[in-house]
Amino acid sequence: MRTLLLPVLVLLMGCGPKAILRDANVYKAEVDQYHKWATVQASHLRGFVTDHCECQSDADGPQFKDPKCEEAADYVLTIEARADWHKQMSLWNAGMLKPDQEPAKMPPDIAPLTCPLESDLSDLPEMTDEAAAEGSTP
Amino acid sequence: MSDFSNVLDTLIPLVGAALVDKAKDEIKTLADDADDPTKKIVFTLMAEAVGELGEDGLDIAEAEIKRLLSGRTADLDWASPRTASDAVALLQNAERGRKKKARVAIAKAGKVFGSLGAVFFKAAISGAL
Repeated sequence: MRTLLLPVLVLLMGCGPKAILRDANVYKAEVDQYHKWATVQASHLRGFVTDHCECQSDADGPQFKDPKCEEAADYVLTIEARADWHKQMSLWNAGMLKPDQEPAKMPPDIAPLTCPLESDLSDLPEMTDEAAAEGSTP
Repeated sequence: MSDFSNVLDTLIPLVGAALVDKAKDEIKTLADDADDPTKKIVFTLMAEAVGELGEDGLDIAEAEIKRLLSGRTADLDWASPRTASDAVALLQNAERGRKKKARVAIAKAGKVFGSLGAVFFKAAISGAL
């Protein structure tokens, strides 16, 4: 039986998605660093967009005058809304969070692009699936 | 996957330079109407590819979306940060789902092996006596 099992296991190792083994502490440090880079950059970028980007109104309402400003603002809103969730999912999928720390099933909504930018709401506590379900109950 | 391939096969011959905007709008409508999150992301990626890259966008999008859906690294340079985030969220949730299934399977296997272990233990004891 054992002689049969070994070749089968070797063959199976070539199947399915590639998995990697990492040092958990180094991986956590990397994820933290990438997260910090993204969120600090988004914070600085928000400052630049707020201070230097102009709005103009057309048929669709107020918009950024410069398309580069619009692009930058979209990055700011996406990072502010999603960076924490993606980081938590990276840690969760790596088995590095406690069972009660599982991220919500759906990533948080990203605020609509407006000119001027809405204030940063990412510091508010993230709504869990349970809280969202309670909130939608009449 | 075949749904998306059919849409791509139908749209690619229609997309000429003049029809790019029309194709983008039509794909965007498909994305808005899609009830399944995977379809929604695929159509949104396609619409953004056509918008950013013109008529070549569909070919590039097709190749990259296929890579994405098969769990390989995809180059989504054309996608907006929102759509790229949705695509990564889709992958992360799929991985979470696979891991949950694996945990349930392992728990079941643990129970089976546990009961088998008890049987062997009893057999060993009865053999020893």
